[in-house]
This record gives sequence, structure tokens and C-alpha cells, in this order.
Amino acid sequence: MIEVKELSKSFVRVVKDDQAGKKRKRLKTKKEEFLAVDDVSFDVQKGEIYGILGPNGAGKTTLLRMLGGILSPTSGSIKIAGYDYAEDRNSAKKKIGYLSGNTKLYGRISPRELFSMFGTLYEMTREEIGSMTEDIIKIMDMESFVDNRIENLSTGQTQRTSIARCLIHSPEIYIFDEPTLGLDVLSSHAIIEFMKSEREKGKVVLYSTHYMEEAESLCDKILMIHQGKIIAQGTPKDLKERSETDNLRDVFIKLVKARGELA
Amino acid sequence: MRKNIIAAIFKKEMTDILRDKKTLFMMIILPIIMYPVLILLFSQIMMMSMSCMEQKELMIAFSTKPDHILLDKLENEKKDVGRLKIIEVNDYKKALENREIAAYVKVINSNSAVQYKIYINSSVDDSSTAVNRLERALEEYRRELVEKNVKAAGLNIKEVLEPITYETINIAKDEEMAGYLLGQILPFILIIGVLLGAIYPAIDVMAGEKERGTLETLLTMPISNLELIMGKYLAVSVSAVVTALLNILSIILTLIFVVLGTAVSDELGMVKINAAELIFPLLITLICICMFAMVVAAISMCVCSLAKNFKEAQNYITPIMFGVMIPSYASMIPNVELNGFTAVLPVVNISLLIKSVLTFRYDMVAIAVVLVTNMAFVLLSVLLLSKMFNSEEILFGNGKSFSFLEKRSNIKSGTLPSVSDGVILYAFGLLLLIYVGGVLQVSLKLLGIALTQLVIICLPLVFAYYIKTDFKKVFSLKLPALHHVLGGISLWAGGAVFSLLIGQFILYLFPQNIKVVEALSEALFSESNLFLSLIVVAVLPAICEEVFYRGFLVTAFKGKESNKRAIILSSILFGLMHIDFIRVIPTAILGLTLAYAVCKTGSIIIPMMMHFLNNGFTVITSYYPRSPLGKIYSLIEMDFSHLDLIKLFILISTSILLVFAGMLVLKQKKEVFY
Repeated sequence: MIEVKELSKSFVRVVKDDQAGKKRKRLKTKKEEFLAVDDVSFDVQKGEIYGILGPNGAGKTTLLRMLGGILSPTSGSIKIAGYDYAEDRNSAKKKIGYLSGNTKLYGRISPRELFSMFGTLYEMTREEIGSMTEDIIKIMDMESFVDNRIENLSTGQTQRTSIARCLIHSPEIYIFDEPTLGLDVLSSHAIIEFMKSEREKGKVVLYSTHYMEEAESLCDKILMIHQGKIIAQGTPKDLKERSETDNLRDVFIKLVKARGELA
Repeated sequence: MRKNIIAAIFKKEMTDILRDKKTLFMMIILPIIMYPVLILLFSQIMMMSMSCMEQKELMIAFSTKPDHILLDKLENEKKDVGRLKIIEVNDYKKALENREIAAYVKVINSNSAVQYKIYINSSVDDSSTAVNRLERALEEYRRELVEKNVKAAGLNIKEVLEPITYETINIAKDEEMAGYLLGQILPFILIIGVLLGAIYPAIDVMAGEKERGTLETLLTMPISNLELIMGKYLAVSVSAVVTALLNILSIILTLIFVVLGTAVSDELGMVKINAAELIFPLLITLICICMFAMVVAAISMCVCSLAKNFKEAQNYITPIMFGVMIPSYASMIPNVELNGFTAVLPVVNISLLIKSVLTFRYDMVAIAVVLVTNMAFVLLSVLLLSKMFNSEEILFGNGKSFSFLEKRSNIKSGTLPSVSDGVILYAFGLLLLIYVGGVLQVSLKLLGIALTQLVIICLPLVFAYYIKTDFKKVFSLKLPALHHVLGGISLWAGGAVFSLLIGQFILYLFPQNIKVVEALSEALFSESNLFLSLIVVAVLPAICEEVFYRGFLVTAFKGKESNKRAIILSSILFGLMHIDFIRVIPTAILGLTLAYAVCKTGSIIIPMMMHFLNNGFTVITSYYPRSPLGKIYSLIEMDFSHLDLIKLFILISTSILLVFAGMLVLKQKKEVFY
């Protein structure tokens, strides 16, 4: 369902130029290119929960943003359900439900209006939007607040609306960027249950996290990245066997140590 | 771009704007309550300070005590005007400085007359008021003395003192008066209205959306950046226009209910406005405001897209606000009128245009210039906006970089110009032509025209170099086949006859524009040297304009399969570049034949030759009206007021025949004439 080939993304960032700074009084800056994602390739099959693991700043969010079509890769290709981003961006995007800590909702409209607006943007007909909205309200139990403004909802209600927003166009692929980050036990349990049930329906869930234990129990396959590069890839069982440890946390630390970057 | 997507985003933004109390207040509540309150407050303060100033008793001093007649006049001034009180002072200069007295009068007695010298301190308001009262009293005093003397001499007072009388009568129509009053103040108010209406929504839809984190949600949708920005842009433009219109409505209602309801109604209340005569000016005003709103919306959105949050956006936008507000005062400066120079100044031209149409003193050429320049501004600013919004650095980066144009090192060689490249280069060229070309031509005459042509050719060449394009392909650098030359001549001849006919017909419909034509030919052909004229008027444009239009623009606008868009669009733009309203259509017709020729033959030489023939023909016939060529020209002249239908028919059918023959020959790929 997702095919990623030799994907890289570089950013230009402004850094202090030490050499020039010594000669002149003025602080000199120079532009420097750095690779946030460096030559990443992987495939995700139907009915899989695919975990992307890595510490903060490893390039998880940049990778997911490229998969969600928000950022364009510097090089490499992404195919979503057969559609290449380079050729048919919109068809690929229609297959995806994307959720991250940065995808906030409009405060001044109600969830019902939100569904209708996003449905239109996914080019659904009015009837489709109407029936989907009714379904979602039932599934997510939103009856009580579906007509209130989003800015007046509680945190839990907002989180439910956020997930519901990803469902409106019944996507085949879910991309979640650290969906359980900072949530209480009940809310994160609900999200994990949701991912499991979507896997049962044959859908694809790709999600990033830095909670190794959660990934270990949930994911069918795991990709570990560090400083933009893949350091390991495979099923949790494989990874543990290969590095002769009994949990993913140790796998990760061992791999990073092997690269000589963690003393 | 998909219309339904843009509509959906527009709808969402409008809902958002209308549900935000802050923007709603700025857009609707403020204009509605501001004017009545402002005008009431202003008139109250004016009245209060006026009456307070007038009725205050002012101290003055005399060097010698005036006689009883003058004293009577001074001290018994009417109560509502205010009195003067005479006191004694020792040092009048000190007294004036210390404001003990408002004026000091020195009386000098000479043999024939008495001289009064009034000393004042003009930096003090009281002094000028005192002078007014003094002068009034002295004038009355003088008149009484004169009358007494005249009577004593046994003469008729009226005959001696008032041998003639005069009176000024204002013949301005009532609607002109109303227009004049509105024209002074309305442009400024409208421009401020547009600013207020555009800025808050612009900040909200750009920086606000970034700050609230909803932008990333929107970017996960299957929509293009251009659709997104267009929807947002429309919403901001609409709210700017709506605010401006609400401002107009509010000020008109205020005038009717507040001003006319009070004492002033005696003077202004009888103004009857003929609504029909105000429709055209109001329509032009409306168009101007819409275009202006579009420019302001695009510029403020550009600025706001650089900001990370609401506060930063407000800081960025403040200089823009002042930059727009200050030139909009232009309409209030007396004697500043819309002319060739002011028509190209941004903001100033809108302000003056509204003023001129409301006072019924407009000329179509100036209006066309204003509309065309603003159209160019709209295009440029929207393109800039869409370019900026495409940049990921602005969305996710630190938000301070201006790198919206690709670095040259990143461009692949052989890139062909795109449609937006064509439009942006055209808009840029148009502005350059108006600003730089206008100055050059006025100051350097013929040399200026030549330099303008060089600017025109440099633009596409530099751009083509920058994008590392294939020069041969873009500029159709290829030698033509012989039959293409013949076909080109035939097509040009047919097109030229038709375009001349159309030109004459337009001139017949709008005879007032003949002056423009005369001034133009005078400027072009003032050079007595035929050779020089030919170079500047025929050779240079044939090369430079062809490289720009038939080279760069036609290639930029070419579709994958059909050339139709390229031919039509490039000739419309070619026509519009000749801003004078009467020249646009004939030039565009000529442009059609030129663009057709280059598309079919693939050689720029053919349209260059046709362009040279066309301009050369005009130059030679105007130099030698009696030559054989000049006679051909007089054959084409039509008198539309006494229509010779047979001649018209023959001319049109000849032109159609020539055009078709030319098109047929140009279509041939292989040599057909052996």
C-alpha cells in the first residue's frame, strides 16, 4: 500500500559562521544544508500496523509529513495505493487520513460543519457526506456535542473530533504522528484500540512514537530511525533476535552504540 | 484549479471571518458607528471652540487714545462677535510677548491722513482674532469718514464710491457640487475602509491559521496550494470590498441624517442629485475599489505569510498601512489632478480617479491607464503570493526567508517558460514600460523610444538566460522558407487592412480620441530624418517586440497540443501594452496575424518581417503622402459618417482573401512554389 524508495529531505538552516565571526565584529551567519531524512526505503502491506520509532529530532515528523503529502521530498519517490505523489498528488492524498499533534481543528465551527467542509474538499457528494457524518457520530459517540463550536469542547471531545476528521473520507491508510503523546491512560488506550480495529478491517496504519513498549506490543513491523537514517527494519521479534536482546529499548540503544554515537 | 474546492475554502474562510468578533467589529460595527460619532463630535468641538474664541473679550492698547467715533466702534462691537477692551501699557513689545494684550495699535498723524499700525504676535490665536475685529472696526470707521468727506464735497456717495458692482454666481450643477464634496473626502475614507477590511482577515487567514496550527490540517487535504490560496484570497478581497462599501453607505447615511438634519440643512438640504448621472462615476469607483481591494489583500497576505503568529503579522503590516494611507491623501490636495504622471502612481491614482469621476472631469485614457496599471499590480501581487505560499520554508521554516524564486543553480537547463512565467514577465514589463518608458520618452524623445525597445528585448533575454532555457526553441530562431515569406506578406496585408478599418471605426465612435492619435504621430514622426525614423519606429520594434511577444510569450502560453491559447492571449496582451484605448483593438488584431505566423512557421523572422512592413508602411506614408504607397493608404481610408458600402465590402473581402491566402501558404510545411 505504501512504497517508499530512497527518500531524502534536506532543509536549509541558518547557523553561526565561526570563522567569519572572529575577523569582524558583526555576527556572521551562513546557510547550511542538513538532511532530516536520509535515503529511506520501505514498503507497508495491507492489514499492517507499521511503527516508526526514533528519539525526538530523528526525522519522524518530516518523514510522515512527506508521506502525508504536506512536504515534498528532495529526492526519492513515494507511492500511496498505487498513486505516485510526483504524478497524482491529490489521488494519493485522498487515500490517507493524517493526524498529528500539529493538525489542529478550526475553533469557530462545529464538528458537523467541519465534516461537511472537509468532505467537500475530498470531493464527496452531499449525500455521501451526510451518511458518513451520521455513521461517524454513532461510532465516535459524538451526539452530545456535534453542534457545539469546537473551541468550546473538552480536550477529550476535541481528540475524538480530530480522529473523526480523519475518517470522513474512509481512507485506506492512516498516518498518525505520535498519536498517544501526552494523553492519559484511557485516551491512549482508545486510540490503540482504534488502530487495532482498523487493522482488522484490512486497513493500513503507519504511526510514529518514541514509546518503545507500546510499539512492541502493537506493531507488525517496525522501522527505527536515528538522525534521518534507517538503523533497523523488521518485525519486533526479528529485531530482538538479531541484536540478542529482549526488548526494543535495548535494541535501539545497542544499535546506536554500535554506530559509535553514544558513548 | 477546481472551482468547487476554491468555493469550499472561500466559504470556510468567510464563516471563520464572520464568526470572529474582532474582525467582525473592524469590518462592520466600526464603519457603521464611526462616521456618525466622528462627525457629531467634530462639529460639536468646532462649534464650541469657534464660539469660545469669538466671544472672548480681548485686550488691546493704543499709542494715543482714539477719538470717540472709533472708540465707540471698538467697544460696542456686537455681542456675538466679541468685544475689544482698551487698556494702557508701558512697553507694548513686552505686553505682546506676555500676552497681556492681543494687539497694539500705533497711531501716526501726518499731514494728509492718519496711519494706524497694528502690531501683533501671529503665533497667538487671540492676536489674529483681535486683528479681525480691529480691521472690521477700522474699515467701518474709514468708510464713515469717507462718506462724510464725499457728502461735504457735494457729491453722490453711490456714484463716487461704488461706480461698479460685481457678484459671483456658481453655475455648477447640484450633482457636481455633491460630487465635489464627496470627491474630496470619499477616496481617503474608501482606502482606509479597504485597509481595515483587508488587514484583519489577512492576518487571520495567514498568520492566525499558522498560529492555531490548523494550516497543517488543511495541507493534508487533496487540494493544491493555488486552490488554497485562491480561496483565502477571495475571502480577504471580498471582506475588504464589503468593508469599503459599508463605509460608503455609512458616510452617506450620516450625511443625510446627521448633517442635513441640523442647522446646515438650510444650505445643503436643497441639493438634489440626479441619480442617473452618478451611475457611471459610481460604477468606475466600484471597479477601482474592487481592484484596489485585491491589491491590498494580496500584499497584506504576502506580508502575513512571512509571520509566524498574529503579533508578528501585526508588526509586519504596520509599515504597509502607513505606506498606503499617506498617498491616499492625494485627493484632498487641491490642484492635484489625474494626469499622465499621477495615473501611474499606485494608491494615488485610485484616490485621484475616484475624485475625478465624482467631479465629472474624467478622460477615458487616464481611466484606462489606472485600470491597466492596477490590473498589473493585481497580477503581480497574486503571483507573488502563490509563489510565496508554495515555499515550504515559509510554512515550516523560521519564516524570515524570501527565497520564493528558485536559485539558478537548481534550475535544470532547457527549462521552457511556463504560463505563469509569461504572465509575471508581462506584468513586470508593463510596469517597466509605464514607469521607466514613460520617463525616458518624455525626456529623451526618439532616443527614449529606442531605449524603451531595448528594455523590452532585454527582459525576456535575461529571464531566458536565468532559467537556462533553449534559446532556439523559445525564440523560434530558425530561417524561414521562401513561401513562408510570401505567405507572411499576404497575411500581414490582409490583417493590416482590417486593423486600419477597425481603427478608423473606433475613432469614428470616439472622435474625442483623435487628439491622442495626432499627439502620438507627432511624437513618432517629429524626426525629419526618414532613415532614423524607420530605424526607431520600424526596425527596433520589429526585432524587440517580436522577441518579447512572439518569442517569449507565445512559447510560454503554448498548450501541449493547440496553439490557440498562445495566439489569442499573446495578442490581447500585445494590444493592452499599447495602453491608449483606441489602439488596443487594432494592435491586438495585428498581434493575431503575427502570432499565427510564428506558430505555423516556427520562425521568428516571419513576424519580424511583417511587423517591420507594418510600421515601415505607416512611417513612409506619413512622410510621403503623395507617393504610390501614400495613395494606397488613402484607398483604405473610410468615411464612416458617409458610408460607402461598396468600398467597405470590397475592402473587407480583399482583406479576408489576403488573410486566407496567407494562412493557407503559411500552413504548408514543404516548399510549394518551385
